[in-house]
Amino acid sequence: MSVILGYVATILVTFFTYNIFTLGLNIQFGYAGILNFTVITFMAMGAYFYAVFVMPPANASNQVFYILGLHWPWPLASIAGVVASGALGYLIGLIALKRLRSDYLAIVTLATGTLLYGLSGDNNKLFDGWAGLFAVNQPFQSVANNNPNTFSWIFVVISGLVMLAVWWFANQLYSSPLGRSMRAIREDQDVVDAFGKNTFKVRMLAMVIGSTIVGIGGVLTIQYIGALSPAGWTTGETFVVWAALLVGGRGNNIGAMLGSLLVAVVFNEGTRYIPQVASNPNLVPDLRNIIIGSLVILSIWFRPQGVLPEKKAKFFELPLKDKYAQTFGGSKADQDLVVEV
Amino acid sequence: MSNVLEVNDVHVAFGGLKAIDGCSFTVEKGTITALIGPNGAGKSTMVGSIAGAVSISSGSITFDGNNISSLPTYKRAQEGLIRTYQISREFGGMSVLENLLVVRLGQSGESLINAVFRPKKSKAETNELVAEANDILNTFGLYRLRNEYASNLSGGQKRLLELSRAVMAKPKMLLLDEPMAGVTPALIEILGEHLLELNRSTGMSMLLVEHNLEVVDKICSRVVVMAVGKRLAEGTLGELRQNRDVVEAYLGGEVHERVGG
Amino acid sequence: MKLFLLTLGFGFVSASIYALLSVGLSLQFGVTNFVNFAYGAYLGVGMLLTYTFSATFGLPFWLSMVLATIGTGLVSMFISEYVLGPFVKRKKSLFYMLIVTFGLSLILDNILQIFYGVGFNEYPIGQSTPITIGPFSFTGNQLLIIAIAGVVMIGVHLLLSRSRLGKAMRAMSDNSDLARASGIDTNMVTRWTWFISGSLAGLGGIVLALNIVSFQTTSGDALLFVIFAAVILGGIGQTYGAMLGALIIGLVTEVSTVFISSAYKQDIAFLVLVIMLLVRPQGLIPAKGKA
Ligand SMILES: Nc1ncnc2c1ncn2[C@@H]1O[C@H](COP(=O)(O)OP(=O)(O)OP(=O)(O)O)[C@@H](O)[C@H]1O
Ligand SMILES: [Mg+2]
Repeated sequence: MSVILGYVATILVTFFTYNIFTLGLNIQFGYAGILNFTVITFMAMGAYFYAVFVMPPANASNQVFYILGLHWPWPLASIAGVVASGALGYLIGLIALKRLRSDYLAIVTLATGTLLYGLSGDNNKLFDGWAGLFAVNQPFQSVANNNPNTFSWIFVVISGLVMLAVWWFANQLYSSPLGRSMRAIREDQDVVDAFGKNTFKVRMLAMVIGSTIVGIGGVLTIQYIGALSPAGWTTGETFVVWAALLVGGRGNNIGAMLGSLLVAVVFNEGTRYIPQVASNPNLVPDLRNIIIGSLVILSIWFRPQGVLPEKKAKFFELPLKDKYAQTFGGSKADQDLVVEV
Repeated sequence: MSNVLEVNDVHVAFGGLKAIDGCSFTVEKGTITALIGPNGAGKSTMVGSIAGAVSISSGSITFDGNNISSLPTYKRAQEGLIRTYQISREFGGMSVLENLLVVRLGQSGESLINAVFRPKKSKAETNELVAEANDILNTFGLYRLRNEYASNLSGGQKRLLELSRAVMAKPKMLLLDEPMAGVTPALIEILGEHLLELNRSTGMSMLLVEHNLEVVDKICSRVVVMAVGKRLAEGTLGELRQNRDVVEAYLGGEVHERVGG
Repeated sequence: MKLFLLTLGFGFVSASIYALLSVGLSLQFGVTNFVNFAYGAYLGVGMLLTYTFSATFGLPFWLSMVLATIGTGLVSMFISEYVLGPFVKRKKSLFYMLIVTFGLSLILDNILQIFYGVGFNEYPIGQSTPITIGPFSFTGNQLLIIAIAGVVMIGVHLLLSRSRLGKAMRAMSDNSDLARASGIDTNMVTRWTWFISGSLAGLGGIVLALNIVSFQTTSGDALLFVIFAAVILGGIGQTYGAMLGALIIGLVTEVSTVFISSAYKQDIAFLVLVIMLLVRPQGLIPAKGKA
């Protein structure tokens, strides 16, 4: 029984954190049309920086090395992790958001991801190299040690609440004038520029907000698991988030949620326990990645708007004054007077 | 009277092609001035250079007394200089109404803090903008389509949206690049009246690129003629019809058919 | 000084590899106007096909190289015809084209991994003893790499300047609508471009494998951003710019090992990319209407 309870809790936490990743990417891509091809690096950024802020100084005699080791309390370390991933987003934005084609940004995100991945693995002084960080201090550490299931359920509540907060935030942003500017930039950046908006600033906001949110998910991930190594944030993970967003519906936060449920939970968990093929131990994970990649491509082909397309904005409207109804326009002109060109 | 726009010896080249080759003209404040010329004369390029989308290699552009030649596009728009495009560039994935709402500058909900934590204030503001936008949409005959996705409009309707959106931005000066192309003759006349009415009631200056000389004749007080990247002539349409160069380069037979008669 | 000259020699080897790869990427970008994020996987295809032909089938190595180069070109052409082409025809926006190629990279990498696993492989050829030429010292394979790149660069130059296909490719790079209007069979040119781009990627992957000796399926992906750096440095879509960019990136990354650990030499390429994007995003040789 307790095994099942623990498992259910883990699934819920997975769902909530992936949903946070997807919401972050949705603000970047779904709102502002920013191609972030290394979503998962921001997760790692949040996680690693939380870890090195919360852990005591590295103990060289254990052959474990990492920077900082400030031993801060976990709430402060969480903030540090989130700020770090937001800062990475800001730096990338500085390099690639100014008057460049969207491919450049995609290239810079991908390059940054490859670089940081290699760096954190090859250089074991940063985050302990390929071995990664483990025994990372968790919130409610004593509960986690003595009563793992209780900890898991506490964490379900925490991550659930954080997810709801992010969700609320994303929705507030979506329906605001700022969110509208972001979506207009997604449609045609030059035109928004020509109407006097500082599109660089707006895109930078979307970039940093999205990165920060993904970082929040990263902090939660490492708090729950207590460990992270480069194997936990390969490019394949970035695709899971992209697939979730594209399948669910870019620009629609409920769609993002549905997508994370379908892809990150149902598909990923559903295929996790397929037995290994002895002769080819990588076959199952490889096939899983192939399916995820195909999901990305096929959803663009068959249903680019996703299962739940973006909703049309609704506004509070007073009826037009009567005097207009009679004049040109009103309800008839647009039908009768306009020709196709 | 002062000039709202002064274009001074502007040059623009695309690779080896000199699209604008030393062109100068002015637009007087509060007037509607036409910019006409044969295909490829450089009219759209001129609109782009004034708006900042195309960078000029030499010359200067003065708007409302300030040299704006080196200002980035969005700052020129913030000064009150708004353009439309010859080929409609609507925000396809947004509703017609939203296309208008997005362009108004200085909305409080454009700051992140207000957007997320003070939605009430921003909503009240948006409601007022909605009413204003609906008025404009009604004027341009798009009211009924306000909740349609802009990408679903017909070509002609997109032209109307292009205009309404520019009007929604409340510019000091409008740069209109063939706003009537692809619109039925009956509607062209009405649109011309609307532009004239807008100009008279708000004093909004306009530079109108247009091939339809009837419209030009009706609403423009002055006409600038461009050909092969240069200003060929300037004056009222009546004067220009007497100008041999202009008639040869551009007006040709067409004028006699359509306006001259 | 001696060390400097030695690394300079390695720089020419790296530059040769990058030149093949960046010219392949750049040609395709110029003609189709979108970046192919699956390009890194194409390197793996060439690299591993050569391994299959030479190690598994026991064909002579030179023949394996030729077959694998053509094979990668065909794979690239096939993907363009049946995967990317339909998206282009539907006029999917640039965003979506990029995401599709990005998704393709995951699929191709994992297909390769199913066949070749995650371990390291080596070609069944001996390592020759280093040959000293003036201040430089090269292995036989490295000399081969430089020779191949030299021949291919001349070939690309002749293709672009002399052949009808090359001229059509240049016309499409400048303005594809105009090229179509002037009677160029753009579908055919696109097809050939993908073939050439894929072949260069495959060949580049093979010489990369020759240079690093042991390789795995993802060795090409790690290099992708170095290729991007070379291409952007030269001016995206500019073939000669790509050659220049490759030369600079190759020399800079190798010479940097005099000063910093060679583990970070590719990070230097990233640095060059960043500086370039900040200072001169249009590249050393800017292309018309791009960037
Ligand atoms: N982005 C560009 N790159 C290269 N050439 C261009 C570009 N834009 C315009 N041109 C060229 O510059 C010249 C002027 O074009 P422009 O569009 O300004 O003319 P126009 O007067 O607006 O013509 P039309 O009446 O057909 O709209 C033309 O020869 C055109 O082909
Ligand atoms: Mg024009």
